[in-house]
Amino acid sequence: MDGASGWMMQHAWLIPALPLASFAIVGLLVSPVSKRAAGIVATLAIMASAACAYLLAWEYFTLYPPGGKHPILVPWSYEWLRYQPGLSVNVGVLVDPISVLLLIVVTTVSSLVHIYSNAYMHGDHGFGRYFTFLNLFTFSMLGLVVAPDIIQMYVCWELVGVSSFLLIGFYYMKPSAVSAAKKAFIVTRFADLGFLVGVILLSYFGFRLFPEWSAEVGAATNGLAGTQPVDFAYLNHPAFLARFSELHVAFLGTSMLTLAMILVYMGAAGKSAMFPLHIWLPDAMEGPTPVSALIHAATMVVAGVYLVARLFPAFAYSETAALVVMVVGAFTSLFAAIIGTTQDDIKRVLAFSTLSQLGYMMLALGVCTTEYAAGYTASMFHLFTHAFFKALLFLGAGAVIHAVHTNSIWEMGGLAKKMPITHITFLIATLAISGIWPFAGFFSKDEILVSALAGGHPLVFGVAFVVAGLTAFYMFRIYFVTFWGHGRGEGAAHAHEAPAVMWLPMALLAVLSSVTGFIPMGEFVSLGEHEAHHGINLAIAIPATAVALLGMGTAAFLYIGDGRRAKSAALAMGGAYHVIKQKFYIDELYLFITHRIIFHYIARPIAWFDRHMVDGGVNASGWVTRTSGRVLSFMQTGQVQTYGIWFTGGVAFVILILWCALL
Amino acid sequence: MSIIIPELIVIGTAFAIVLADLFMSERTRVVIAPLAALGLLAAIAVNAIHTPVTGELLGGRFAMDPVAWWFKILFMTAALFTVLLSIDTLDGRAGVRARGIGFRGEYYSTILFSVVGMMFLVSARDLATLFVSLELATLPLFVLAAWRRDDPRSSEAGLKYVILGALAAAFIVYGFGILYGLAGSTNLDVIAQRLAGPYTPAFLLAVALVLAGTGFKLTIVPFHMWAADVYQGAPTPVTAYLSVASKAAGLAFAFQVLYRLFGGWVPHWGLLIAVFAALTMTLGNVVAIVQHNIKRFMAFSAISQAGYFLLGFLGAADAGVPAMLFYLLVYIVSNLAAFACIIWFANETGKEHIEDYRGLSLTNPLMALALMVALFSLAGIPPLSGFVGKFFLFSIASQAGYHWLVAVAAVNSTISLYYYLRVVRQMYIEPPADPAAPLRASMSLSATVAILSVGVVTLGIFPMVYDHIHATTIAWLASLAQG
Amino acid sequence: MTELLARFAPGLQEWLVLCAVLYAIGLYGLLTRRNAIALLMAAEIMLNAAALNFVVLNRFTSPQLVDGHVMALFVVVLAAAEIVVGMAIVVALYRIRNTVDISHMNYMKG
Repeated sequence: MDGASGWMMQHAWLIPALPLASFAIVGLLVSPVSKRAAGIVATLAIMASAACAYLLAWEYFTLYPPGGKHPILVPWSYEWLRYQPGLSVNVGVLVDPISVLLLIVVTTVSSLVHIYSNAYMHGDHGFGRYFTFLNLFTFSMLGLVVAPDIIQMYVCWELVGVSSFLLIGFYYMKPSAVSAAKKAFIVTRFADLGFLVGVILLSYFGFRLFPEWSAEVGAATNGLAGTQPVDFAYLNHPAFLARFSELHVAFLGTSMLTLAMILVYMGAAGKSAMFPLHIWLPDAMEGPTPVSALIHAATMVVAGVYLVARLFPAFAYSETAALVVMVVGAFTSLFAAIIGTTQDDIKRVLAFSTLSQLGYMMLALGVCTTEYAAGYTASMFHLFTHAFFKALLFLGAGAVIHAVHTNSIWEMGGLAKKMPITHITFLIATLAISGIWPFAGFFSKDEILVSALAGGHPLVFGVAFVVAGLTAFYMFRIYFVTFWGHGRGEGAAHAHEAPAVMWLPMALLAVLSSVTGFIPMGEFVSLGEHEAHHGINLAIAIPATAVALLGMGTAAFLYIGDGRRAKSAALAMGGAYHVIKQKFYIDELYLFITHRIIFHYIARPIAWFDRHMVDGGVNASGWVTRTSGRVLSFMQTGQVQTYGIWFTGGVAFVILILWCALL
Repeated sequence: MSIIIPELIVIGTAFAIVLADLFMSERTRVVIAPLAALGLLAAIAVNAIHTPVTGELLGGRFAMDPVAWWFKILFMTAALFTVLLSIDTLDGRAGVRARGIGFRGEYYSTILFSVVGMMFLVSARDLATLFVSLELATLPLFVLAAWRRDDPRSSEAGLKYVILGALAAAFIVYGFGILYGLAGSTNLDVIAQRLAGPYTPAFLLAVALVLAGTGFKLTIVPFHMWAADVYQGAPTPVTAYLSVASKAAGLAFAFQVLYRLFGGWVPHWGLLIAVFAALTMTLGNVVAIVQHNIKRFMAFSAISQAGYFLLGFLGAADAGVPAMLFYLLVYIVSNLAAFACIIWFANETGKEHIEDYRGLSLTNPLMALALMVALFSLAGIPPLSGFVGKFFLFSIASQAGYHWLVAVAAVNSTISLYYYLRVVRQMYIEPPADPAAPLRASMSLSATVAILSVGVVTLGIFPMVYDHIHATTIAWLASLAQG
Repeated sequence: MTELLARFAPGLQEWLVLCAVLYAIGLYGLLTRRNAIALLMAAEIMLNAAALNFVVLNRFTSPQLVDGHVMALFVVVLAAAEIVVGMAIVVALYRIRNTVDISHMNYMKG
């Protein structure tokens, strides 16, 4: 750990500590005094944290220039809980390319969302509370990102869940927000159950195998001496993985490693909203829109992806676990994209789009192996670009909602003229997510497609390819309906541009969404020696762009303008009338095929299944618990002699067990 | 001699209170509570600073060891906070005065006698001292539960408690009798040595009887049934005391029985303990979901927590003992913090339904926050102390190979989250029922809530406490091996 | 006569059976009677059976020591204390409810 030389490296703990301090100060001292100051202090703290993160990134990549080897450093750590002799849990800061990447994403998006929120939440009676929670969230997310061991990650993981719960339920007067908050918390907690059991398995076997391994590998630990059995450095070590995968779980017929990894993946799937644990995310849109941008698009939901990436060697070691990651990712990606085409609430479309893109990142991790690790780079790259353009989409949607006071796209329309800056930035983000050159999404999506095909998974490639088209379709659908044509609702008629405090962060994100694609991510983030994929593979880029353009064209065809406008255009054109009329038939046909057949027989049933069956399952388990509670509470008759009989029966039961087991 | 000074201080305070009460006018009796608190504080200080952590008295019938040291601190702390939380109720400084509560001198001295019983319990090395101190710890609780003489619920709670308590005592003492007959001695260590050997039916009968009595104190299913009714009927500060101190005494008794008396056999009883742990946490959690009365709700919550404690007995003692002690500390602090808010709310409004907490976050944000933090700690949300405590216990069960039990426990902690969230929802999400006016809170109560909340948050974050518990218990285990 | 009695002098087993029978009677009473005072009496019988157990075992296992006798004394005292508390509560309850029927004491349940 001699590499930790720079000042920022030594003081890397500042990055999560600043938001924590600000959380305490704002929550306890500033917020009761002045709401306005609360927003400013909170924002400044996050910006300072962002500055530290940039400095850290600069130091790290000066020390280990792009293209070379990038070691994992733990420049700062502190013993937190000594559990057993030889096993203690540390809090610390881990610095490696992906944590630096995430630090930049989180601090950047969080700063911009903080700035934006100063205007968006203006006048809300929970203004101070909002910034307190937002700071708490940022702290927990940063703590999660820099976690050097799985315990710290789990703790921050839960804290992130709590702050997300608080923020989704921010409008607590709205019953739907409240139930959404509860649902999000309970679904993710249910998933965390798997994570927790996985953590316990890992730390237990880690601890059991620890003495052997440290004696055996001893010198060859790459300076990892002094690691704890719960540290990622230990968990990802090949020697440990080899031993761990030799342990078999008798009743499942699988190795202990696979079991633990699948349990951990369950937690990741809950947080990253993979099918069937995705049900909380669309409902979570009940929170304030900037929160959706920060938590439910750019940062918290990618925590699952980050966890899988962090434990990538372990996942790659267990083929079954990697397969699960891939299949679930691909399925979620397709499933969510199809549902996305049917939604009318602008935020719900974006939510399903987030699901779909998260599925993309997961499948990219699932297809790569330790031999061919391009998917790893691709996934992180997509995580990076997606954070910017999806945050931008949400902030844009927030600006629109702020202006027209509705979420339904059918009550918007014609906003391009009234909100020119929002329009342009939203268009850039839409182009980016659709994968159109030269915007960021094009590059990262291209790498994912390449890695899927080159990794030997043509089916997954096919799914990803279709999803690319669908993405362009539904994104341009909302784009055209919202910004083009005429204002359809009362609010749309009186819409005006967002204030500068709101559009400035959007403009910045638009710049980032345009240029980040040119970053040669393979030089920064790659696994070991393997040359990551460089440049653009035209054989894939061209069809991918084509399918995106196809989706875009279809959306344009279906959703630009309305009947009246088509008629007036026809009259004006005169000679071209017939052609246009014929086109109109094709339009009808298109409408018939898409709306009547695809929507009715494919997308609607899937959406119905999602709402009633998957959700229903969650509700049913709650019902079962409540009912059994009611039944069991009848045991408690209030008659003291009944209690005495149970007591005596209990003694008989103990005797019986002891007798059978021991005599 | 110095090892018994804390007990003597507490007894002295108790008698001083009884005597002073005789000669005091009703108005001057307000000094009784501070007197009791001071006595406890002095005893805690003496115990913490002056008392050596090993030693014995009375021919070895009363002994001090590091685990007893910790338990005594915990008992006295629980009693101290109970005294602080009782002041408003007993002095009638409440928004809604509870009828038939008063008799301050008797009340505080009864609590102190019960604490002394617990302190002797954990130092006992003989069947006679063990049984006498167990009864000394329990009898005052019957009285306290029935404190509100003109409230049929309180009296009913007392009667149920006394009948089932007598039943449990009869089971325990009959079991002790058999053990005495088998070993020919009343010394716990001697019994443990002489009983080593193959199982006999008489021995198993004795084990079952004693374990049932332990289960009664610890509220293990199916010996738990008194808890819900007694918790609901007893005056709220007494419920708080029952839920923490009585449970701590139960754990102390379980330590005496399972480590000292049956230490050699317990490793073979893992399955039995695991089954009871699973039953207890599941039943407690599931039934808690359908409760409406917050005290009854806390009773089932406490029952399920008892199930988590049992996990600690599954593993090796050097991991299990510190984990259980730490969780006990965490549980006492978290539960008292929750009860502090419940007592305050009952005092100010006279209501104890969960639905009555509607909109509390708007009228009294700090109290609502304190209650939420306490409940989240009980639910085991990191990084609150409850999570750390649970994590240690879960990993002990996992290390002992009871993965199914860890799964059950983890599912249970999710269920528990559901019902703790019910309260949080009422406070944070439902609108207040009537024109929202903040309820006032007395200084003593606010200070108590603040101290406890800080404890809930910090115990999990600062590792020194656990380190210290771990280090001291190792010494205890060594002394067990000798004895 | 004394000789005859001496021949049928009950041994350890007989005494232990007596204790167990007494104990069982107490347990049966506790679980079946409806009168709260009878319940307390039943509890008293159980505790005293246990005390008798100690005396018997002391006499037959280690007659030179008095541990069991001492224990029996403690048990008797504590049983008495337990019953005193119980009776006080029954009296308080009788004043409010005008009944000592235990089956009516079910205000709290569920």
